[in-house]
Amino acid sequence: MSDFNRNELQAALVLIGLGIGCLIIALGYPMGTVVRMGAGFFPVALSVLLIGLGAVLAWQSRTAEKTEVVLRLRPFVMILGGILAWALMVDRIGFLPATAILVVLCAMVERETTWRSALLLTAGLCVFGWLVFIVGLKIPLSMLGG
Amino acid sequence: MDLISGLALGIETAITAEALLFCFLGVTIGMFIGVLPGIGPLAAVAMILPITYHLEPMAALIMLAGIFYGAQYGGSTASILLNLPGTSTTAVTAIDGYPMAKQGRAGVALFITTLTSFFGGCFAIVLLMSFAPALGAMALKFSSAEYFSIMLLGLIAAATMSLGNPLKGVASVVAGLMLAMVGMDTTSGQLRYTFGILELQDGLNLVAMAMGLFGVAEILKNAGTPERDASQLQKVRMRDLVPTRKDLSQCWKPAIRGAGIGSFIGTLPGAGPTLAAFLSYALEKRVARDPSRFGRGAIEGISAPEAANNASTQAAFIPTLALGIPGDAAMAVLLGAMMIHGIQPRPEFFTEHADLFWGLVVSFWVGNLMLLVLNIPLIGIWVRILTIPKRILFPAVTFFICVGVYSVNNSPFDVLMVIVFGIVGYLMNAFQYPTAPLLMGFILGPMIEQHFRRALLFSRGDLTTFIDRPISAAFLAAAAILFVAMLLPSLKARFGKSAAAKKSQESASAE
Repeated sequence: MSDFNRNELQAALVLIGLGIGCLIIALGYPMGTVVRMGAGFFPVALSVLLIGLGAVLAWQSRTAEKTEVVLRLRPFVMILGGILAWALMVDRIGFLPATAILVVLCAMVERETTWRSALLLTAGLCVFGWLVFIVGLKIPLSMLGG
Repeated sequence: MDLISGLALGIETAITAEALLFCFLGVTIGMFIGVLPGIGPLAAVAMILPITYHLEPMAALIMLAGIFYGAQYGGSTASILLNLPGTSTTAVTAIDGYPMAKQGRAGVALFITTLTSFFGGCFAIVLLMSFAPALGAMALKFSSAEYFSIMLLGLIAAATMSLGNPLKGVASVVAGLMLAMVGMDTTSGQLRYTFGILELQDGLNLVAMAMGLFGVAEILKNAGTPERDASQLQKVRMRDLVPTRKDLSQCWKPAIRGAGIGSFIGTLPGAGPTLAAFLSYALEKRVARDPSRFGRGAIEGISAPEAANNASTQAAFIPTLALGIPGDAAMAVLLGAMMIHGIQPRPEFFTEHADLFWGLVVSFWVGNLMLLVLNIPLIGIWVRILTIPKRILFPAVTFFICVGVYSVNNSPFDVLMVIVFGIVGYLMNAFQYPTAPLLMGFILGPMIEQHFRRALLFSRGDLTTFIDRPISAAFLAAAAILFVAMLLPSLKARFGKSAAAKKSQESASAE
């Protein structure tokens, strides 16, 4: 078991878990008959398939080649954080500040970024975004404030 | 409608100032995106989609399609010059293209790939013109049973023909189908998997999903890694582009073979340009008199896959337009775009929307011609694009993703879904589960469920309806063969390790 692949097994177990979760919910929907299938039929069938596939993949993971999964926290936190901030704040504090937060956070992921270049980029994207999306396409967002 | 009057109608609709402008915009954006490593045509189409809402369906379609095939042209530039494929479909081009660049023949390689791309594209457009309406006419006789079976074939093709473990592809498709269940069931009105969240009642947003899986996931993978080395980038001058007579005589046969393979693969629902490029490269290596030249700058090694991936991209429009079944994941997004514009691709498309179909075909000719003309003289500009650093590129792309997704429904909730699918896509990549089949499953999910239920309603619950009808049976048989054929290698590896070892030894000695 020296080449035991933990990652492959974990992924397969997640599939099984998802399948079980979906199955439990799907059992609450009307199944109907074969002629008049209810809303529950397809989800139940798919859940069972998912569980089955997960089981086979878990079995296969015993012999699967070892893979390495590297998680780098920095891009995750800053890029996803930037998108999260934009989504939560854009209709509260306005298009300009939300975009500034997003762009600066994303730019700071790269180590070569300087404050100067980040701010220049922010300014450029704000102007471009304002022209294309708000003036041009008339997306209902205000520049500042909600 | 026959070919000539169809073309005449197409020229009438596609050769207008407006249509030409949007065709030009589309192919230029596609080319640009294709050159940039890491952002594929899928994310590009999804990003531009919101901008097209305000256009006429015709202009929108011409532009979106242009992005799609334009990216195939651009993708080879990064492959050849930096050994970094601009899109996954041009990964094969790097194998022989990069060695050519190192030998100082980058210009020739770029010229040849542009030329063969053009050839492959044109080859498939001819097929599209001649066969898509016929297929549409045939499909008029399809009932729900046939539709279910052909979609199943498409899903199995999408699952098994991605590289890697085919079972993971199947799992990915099933997960995609499951995601399609979210929202209101169209037949009964029952809400499924909405967890009381109002925004989920209409189902998950396709654009948000595509952007997360293919845009954000890719950025998460590459952000913060060392900047790619652009210092070794060669200057490409116009006179470097001229191929020798020998180059040309070596590349036309592989280009024809590549275009053939690409058209065939592209027409299959579910199988896309990446597979076409890989297959045609493998074929060239097999038929070559001296296979050892491959990987060291063989011109056949760039001309065949480039013809193949462009042919496949154009041929993918055949099932998409005739049956409403996308040829690959990027086509699936395009299909979504057509539906947003109120065009339901189905067999009647060719008669009801004859102007759209022929206009699109003519715009393909125009677009391919524009790409040929754009690509070669402007090669210096495309090379410069490769030097845009990630610290500018990634924040800009993330910003466009946010605004683009927001503007689909003016909904911040959709932007939050991008985060979710970004994480999902990142994890799937990390654990080597293909993401494109997930999207295919999601797009086909509602249709396949509806047709399955309807087919059984018509047959009064008799499951044999799927094999009693000959066309449906043929699709199912094809699906079964595909499934078994793709599982065979892994079964072989399990039960006959010695045979596999022998085979790999053989191929190793052939390298």
